Amino acid sequence: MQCEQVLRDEIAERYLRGALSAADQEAFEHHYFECASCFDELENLRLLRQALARGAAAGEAGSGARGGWAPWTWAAAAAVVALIAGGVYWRFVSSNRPSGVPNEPERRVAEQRPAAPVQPAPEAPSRQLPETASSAQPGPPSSTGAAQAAARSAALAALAVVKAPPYTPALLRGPLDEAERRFREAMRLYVARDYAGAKAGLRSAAALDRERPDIAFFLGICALLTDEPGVAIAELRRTIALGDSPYLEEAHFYLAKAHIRRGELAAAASQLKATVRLRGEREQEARELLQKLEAFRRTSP
Amino acid sequence: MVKPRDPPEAPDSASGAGQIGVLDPAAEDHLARTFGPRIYVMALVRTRDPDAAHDLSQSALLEILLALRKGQLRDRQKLPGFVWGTARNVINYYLRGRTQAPGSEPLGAATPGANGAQVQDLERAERLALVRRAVARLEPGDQRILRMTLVDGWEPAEIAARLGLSSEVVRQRKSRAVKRVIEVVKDLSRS
Repeated sequence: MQCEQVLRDEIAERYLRGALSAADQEAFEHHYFECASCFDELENLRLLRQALARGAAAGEAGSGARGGWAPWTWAAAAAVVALIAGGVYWRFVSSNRPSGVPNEPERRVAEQRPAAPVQPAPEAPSRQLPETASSAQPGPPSSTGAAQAAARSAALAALAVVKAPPYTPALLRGPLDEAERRFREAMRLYVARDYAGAKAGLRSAAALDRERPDIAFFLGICALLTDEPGVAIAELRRTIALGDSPYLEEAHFYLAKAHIRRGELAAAASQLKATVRLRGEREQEARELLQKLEAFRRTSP
Repeated sequence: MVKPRDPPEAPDSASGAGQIGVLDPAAEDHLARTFGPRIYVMALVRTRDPDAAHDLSQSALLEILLALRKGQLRDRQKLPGFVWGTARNVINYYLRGRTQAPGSEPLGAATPGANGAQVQDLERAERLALVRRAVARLEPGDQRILRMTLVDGWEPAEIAARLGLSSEVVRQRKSRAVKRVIEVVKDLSRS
C-alpha cells in the first residue's frame, strides 16, 4: 500500500469505520507503522471522529439514549409532564383569575409544546373549559386544542417506545469471515448500549453480506434506537424478506414500532397482525399493542 | 509493499532501537513513544473498546520490549513490521477471549512503557481538545457531513441523498472540512 492510494481511496477513513477488508486493513496497518505522515492523518481523523461523536453525545445528553430508550420518547414524556403540570396550574389560575388577567401559565405551557414529537395539531373546540372558550382572552381555546394534540403525540410516543432486544452471542467456532468479525465487533458496542457505534459497524458488515438476517435485524434495531425510523423500516423489511429466521417475528414487531414512530398507523397494525400470526414470544405483546393502536386510531380526528 | 510517501518522516527505526537487544532507557522510551500510539489505534479499531485498546497497547509494548531485550530481532530495519506483528498477535489473542499472558519480566513503574503511556495520554487529550475547538469553528453543515461520514458511517451517496446534494459536493465539503480542521489544529497548537 502506498501513500497515494491511502489518500485517493480514503483508506484511513474507511479503516476507522471498519469498512476495509481484512487484507486491506492489515496492509494499511503495516503501512502506517512505517509511515509517519499517514499515521498523522489517521490520528487526525480518529480524533476528529471522537470530537464529533462527543459533540453528538453532548447534544443528546440526558436523553437516556444509552439506557435503551429512544431519545424522542423522553421528549414526549417531558411534554406530558409539562402538560399535566401546566394544565393543573392553568385550571387553578383560570378558576381564580379575575376577568382581564392575562393567561400567562397557559402561554408557558404552549411554549413548551415543541418538545413533543411532531404531530399534526387538530383544531379541536374547547369542551373541557367552556368558561375560557367563551372568554375574549387569547390563549385558552387554541391552547386546549394544542394540548390535545400534544397529548395525542405523547400517547403515540408511548405506543412507539422501544427497548433494545437482548443479544446473546452465538458460541460458534469456525472460520471467521470479515462480515462476521465486524458483526461481532458491532454487537459488543450494542451490548454496551452504544447504538450509534454499533450501527456504523453493522452498516459495514451489511455491506459485505446482504444475506444475513441477524445483521439486517440489529442494524434496523440500532437505527430505530438512534431515531432513524426510515432506515429501520428498510432494514427490518430486508430481514423479513430474507425469509424464515430467528429474527422474523421480532422484525415484524419492531417494524410496527418504526411505523408508529412515523405515524403510519395502518402499516403498523398490519405488522402487528403479522407478528400475532407467527404465534411466537411476542404474540401477547403484539396483541396488546394492536388493541391500543386500534383504540388510538378510532379516536383520531 | 510498504512504500512511504516521505521516507524521512517515517518512524526512526534506527534511533528507536538502534542497538537491538541492548536498548538503553532512552531508546526504549523513544520506541514506546513512536509505536505506542500506533498500537493503541490498531487495538482500538480492532476491539472498538478504548479501555481494552489502552491495556492491549501496553501489553504489546511490554512483549516487544522483552523480545528486543532478548535479542529476538536482528535486523533493525524490520522493527516496524516486528512491532506490528507482535501487536497483532496480542490483540488477536485478546479477541479470541483468552486472558492475556503476563510478561515474565516485570518492567516496573520506571519503564518507558509506563511513562510513555502517561505522556501519550496527555498529548492525546490536548490534541483532542484542539480538534474539538477546530470542529466548533466549522459551519454546521460541514459538521453534519463530517459526523454523518465519520461517526455514522454513511457513504457520500447516502449523505448526498439525505441532504439533497450531489455526491461530489459531499466529498468536496468533507475533504475541505477535514483539511480545515487540521489547519486550525496546527494554528492552535502553534499559538
